[in-house]
Amino acid sequence: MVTAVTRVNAPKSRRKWQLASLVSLACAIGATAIPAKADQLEKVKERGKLVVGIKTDYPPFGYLGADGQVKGFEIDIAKFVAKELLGSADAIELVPVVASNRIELLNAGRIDAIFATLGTNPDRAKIIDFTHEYYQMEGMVLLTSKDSAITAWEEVKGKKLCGIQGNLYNRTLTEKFGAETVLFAGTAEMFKAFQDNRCEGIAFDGPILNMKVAEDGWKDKYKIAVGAFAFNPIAGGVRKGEVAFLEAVNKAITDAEAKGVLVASEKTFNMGASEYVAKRAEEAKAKAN
Amino acid sequence: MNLDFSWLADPYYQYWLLRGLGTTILMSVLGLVLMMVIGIAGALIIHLRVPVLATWTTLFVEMFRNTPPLVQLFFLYFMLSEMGLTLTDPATGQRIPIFSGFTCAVLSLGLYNGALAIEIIRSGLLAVPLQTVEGARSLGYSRVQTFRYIELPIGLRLSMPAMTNNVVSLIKTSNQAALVAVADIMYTATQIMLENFRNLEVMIFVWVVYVALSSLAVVAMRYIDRLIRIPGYGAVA
Repeated sequence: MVTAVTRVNAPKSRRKWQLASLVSLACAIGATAIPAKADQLEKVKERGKLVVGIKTDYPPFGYLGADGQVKGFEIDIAKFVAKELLGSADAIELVPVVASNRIELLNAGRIDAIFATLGTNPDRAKIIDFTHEYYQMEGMVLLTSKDSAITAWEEVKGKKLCGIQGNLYNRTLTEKFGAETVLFAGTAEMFKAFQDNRCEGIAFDGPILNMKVAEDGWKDKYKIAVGAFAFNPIAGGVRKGEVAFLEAVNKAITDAEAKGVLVASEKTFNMGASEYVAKRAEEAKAKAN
Repeated sequence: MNLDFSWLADPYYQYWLLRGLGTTILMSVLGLVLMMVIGIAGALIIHLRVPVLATWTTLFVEMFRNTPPLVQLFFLYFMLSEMGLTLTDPATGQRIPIFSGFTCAVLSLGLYNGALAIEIIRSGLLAVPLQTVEGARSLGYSRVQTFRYIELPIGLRLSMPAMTNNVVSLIKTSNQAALVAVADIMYTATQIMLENFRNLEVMIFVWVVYVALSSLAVVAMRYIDRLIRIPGYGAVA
């Protein structure tokens, strides 16, 4: 066995070192497979800081403002949760994530929670735990140039559509509607590629595309051709099995709703006063009293 | 640590992965061809000190070797159309970019590794013993003939180990095409990961694929090396 894994022609003393280095490498790899067991809530309190994954390219939920600060609807929620758990809204570290890496980062332990436009669906629920839902996000809409002839989702068959990797609706686009998807990691590349005419339209979430088409330089050349076919609730995400932590975060979210934080955020970020958020605020207030 | 590879049996995923693998192999092959053409042409120009072209080639090498290949790829994909290099699509009458994502990826690989190849082949050419070159010149070979019959054959053989490095580097760098929406193995693997969340298993699979591809390239290079070796010349490896 020893001769099988070490170089046969090496002298006996060298073979001993080679075997030792192989064994130690195997031990190192094996040691990383042993998971550490500690309660997440305690760990966060001990650390004194809540590490949250947020979007920085997705107005109005999480984006980089003109002053260089990260702000948005979800940042407000995250800061409130940090205040409830740790006593201060500044005991928080905001980590920029994108759709294609947020769950990975959560499960790898690099972030404690996801507040990054995470849509709920049964596949994801098998891997992570969702908090209470806090917003109904308009589903996929189609943004095209003003003179495009597309009026319905069925007409995108065979056409190239830009999008983001990891979006819930990408599979529906290719399987059900027969479109060809050109997917990028971040929204900046997606918008640039569309402006270069690398695709006929952008198929992405309603809120951000609606905001984009109202911007200068976009509003006179592009339009929303087809509206959403579904609304999808978004929620926070935490690792599976962290019961105490999930409970604490859920309580913080409900408290935020009761105190009217979400209704106020909607107004601050010009999201329009949605019925869903108002209703949840009412229910939370009623439960608190 | 229990690994679940059952997703490999899904025919939809298999189709994606095979398509991605095909794209990666095609990109690598085309990139390699472009790399060798640029490498030999550039080494010839610099070694023979052709008047104006040598300076341009040196500038090219410095520019493309000293910048990250990803930056070069993004420049080709996003910036060229900004600079006006567009075509008018006959079907829609719109201005579309001149290079597709695939072409941009192949070009960036060929240019970046080509610049490295110029330096590698040049190092091989400089290692040809001066006495051999002088002997050829004294026999009446012109400078170009010396290059073609003496320096280049020996130089290429001497630079084989470094060139193997470059070939493997090209195959590995090809995975940056996933960032410009080219459906190579990295891109399709990311799609699968985002659907079934089996990050570790998918990444192990991608790792195995790249190790296999690179090992195949290394074995091919070793075979070529043995095939074209000059018997009795130089150190016996």
